Amino acid sequence: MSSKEKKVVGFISVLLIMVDLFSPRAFAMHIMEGYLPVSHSLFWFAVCLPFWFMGFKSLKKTVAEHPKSISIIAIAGAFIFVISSLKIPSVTGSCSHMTGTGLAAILFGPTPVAILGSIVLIFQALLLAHGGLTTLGANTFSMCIAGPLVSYLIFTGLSKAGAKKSFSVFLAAAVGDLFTYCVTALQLAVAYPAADGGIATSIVKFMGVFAPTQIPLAIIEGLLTTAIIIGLESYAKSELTDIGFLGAQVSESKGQLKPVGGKAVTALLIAAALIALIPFFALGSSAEFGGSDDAGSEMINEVTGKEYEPWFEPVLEKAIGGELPGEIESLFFCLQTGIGVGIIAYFMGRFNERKKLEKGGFIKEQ
Amino acid sequence: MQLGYFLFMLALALAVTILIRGMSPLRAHAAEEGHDHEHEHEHDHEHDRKHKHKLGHSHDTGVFSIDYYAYISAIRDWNPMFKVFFSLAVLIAVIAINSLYVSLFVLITMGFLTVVRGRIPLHQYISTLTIPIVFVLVGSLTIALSFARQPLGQYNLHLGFFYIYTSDADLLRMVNLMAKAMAAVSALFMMTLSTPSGEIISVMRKVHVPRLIVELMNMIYRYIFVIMETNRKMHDSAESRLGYVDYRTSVKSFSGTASNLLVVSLKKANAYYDALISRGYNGELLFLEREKKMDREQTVLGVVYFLCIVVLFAVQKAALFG
Repeated sequence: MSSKEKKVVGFISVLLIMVDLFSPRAFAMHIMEGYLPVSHSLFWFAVCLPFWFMGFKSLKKTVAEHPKSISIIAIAGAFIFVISSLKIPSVTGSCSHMTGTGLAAILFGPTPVAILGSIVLIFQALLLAHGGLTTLGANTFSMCIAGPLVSYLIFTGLSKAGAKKSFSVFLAAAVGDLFTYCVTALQLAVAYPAADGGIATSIVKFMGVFAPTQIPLAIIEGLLTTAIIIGLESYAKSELTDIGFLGAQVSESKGQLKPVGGKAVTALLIAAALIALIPFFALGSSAEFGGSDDAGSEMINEVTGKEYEPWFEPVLEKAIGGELPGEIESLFFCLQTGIGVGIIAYFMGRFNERKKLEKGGFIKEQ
Repeated sequence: MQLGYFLFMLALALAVTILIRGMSPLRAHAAEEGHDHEHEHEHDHEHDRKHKHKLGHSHDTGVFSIDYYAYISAIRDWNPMFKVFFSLAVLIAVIAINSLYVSLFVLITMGFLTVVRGRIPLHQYISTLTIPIVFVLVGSLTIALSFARQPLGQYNLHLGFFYIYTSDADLLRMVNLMAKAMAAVSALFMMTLSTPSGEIISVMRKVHVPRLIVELMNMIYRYIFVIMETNRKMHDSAESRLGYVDYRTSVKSFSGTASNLLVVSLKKANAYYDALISRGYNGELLFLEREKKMDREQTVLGVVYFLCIVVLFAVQKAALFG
């Protein structure tokens, strides 16, 4: 170990001690099982779908071209899992973990992380009881899509701008971590708006409550990620190039994980930001979930000046004596949407495939 | 309310009877293997006693205690497809119905199923349940409590510059949410504490999850244990050379171990692939597994269980409006 590295490690550990003294027991960023209403769970699953699709496609391509890469991809997933289950050294005896998302995004690029991260999340739910299956969509979005994208962008941006590597790694991991936590707070706030003040108040509350644990954790994550990357660089340069670290020229012949180009990442990031922000602004503080059902009778009210008397009652309401609870109603709504989307997607896929077949000869996959 | 309470207890008693009733075919089977189980259980108890004072997220018992208990569960012989779908259906029902009665009912019956029928040690079950407890407490309190400059709400606490306040409605919402979340977790644990991950992955294959994903999951599941073992060895050897003697050294050892772990793992990945190829791997890992027949009685009982949930839901509606 050179004297420079010694200095870095010494500096990192001093900083870690300072942070650690103030950090209470870690709060996992996983939204737990059963914590989100059905409609929200489905919404976040839907948001993840395009990213999963892209990740799946790129993984499939890599594996088809180079069958050997499946083993490397799998071991990368297992590595993320193990890193996230290790206890960080601590003086106060607090029990905190890295999320590993920043590290994974820097090492493997954001596209494979969407799929690998979701698999890791499933195993965390099954083997470690962190997170859950119904909240998988929400957790995937915050921890495997939004956070890694930010980390990756910061890292590539700073590297291109010529910043010091240790600094850009630190910033990428720490900010990615913080962003993940903000997205989680947003997800919780949208699901549970405050009685007075709505989502805006609620998000301030959630961020405020989790900030004392999350900000030190983000710093710890950044510092440890830096230390890990420094270690990797000093004795594993060739392996790093193999997995496409630093956007290094990936040797096509070796066919390892490929980070996607800058354009695609920017597009993805904008999409992610939009998806995360639209409900926030569109709903505002006086958000109400409603349809066009009542708009008609209100209009009649305005025009005729009389209360509109419905001449028919829904059969179901009569049968169970009262309205269905809102949750179940929205479940049905979402079910209906899901079936519709399924049908449309089926036909789109069919037409797409047909077009492909008409265009060129049929090349059987695998 | 009185009627609701009565019906709740009735449904609970009914469900428990059903669950016990369903045990009879299993008892004979358990008796045959009793010897083996006994041995393992003894070991568990000893293991538990050592850590009796510790609840929750303890790393001393090994990160993979859930995996371990899934293998020794007494209801491991149930059809995995049934368990996965039953637990998912209960999970979704709990969240969708969102009623305190149903949540409590599910929490109790699922706990019963795991602990009594699955013979998971109660202490272990409770400590697993408390893993997400930090999240439940912090998250739920955030929802229940609000901050303001003026005293608002039914209860408030003055803290210098501002007030923390809450109301009955908010508190009720919090209790409801906590019960719902814990019920959902108990439904999930019913599956995870009785079904090894390999079987869950095989269920995913049967419902046509893309092959690449199933393949990756199978490999990742196996690699996790390999890497974990490698990490333990690295940690131990670092420790034996005073790698964790003080804080500064342990930070160095931790990050060094982590980066070295990746290098070693990547090397292993290559070796494993060669091993797979030499055994004729062509893109699909297929495992022999024991055939576990779908029990018709269990299916019926599962449906009855759902009827119980619906009845409870109706009862609560009636209790609120009648």
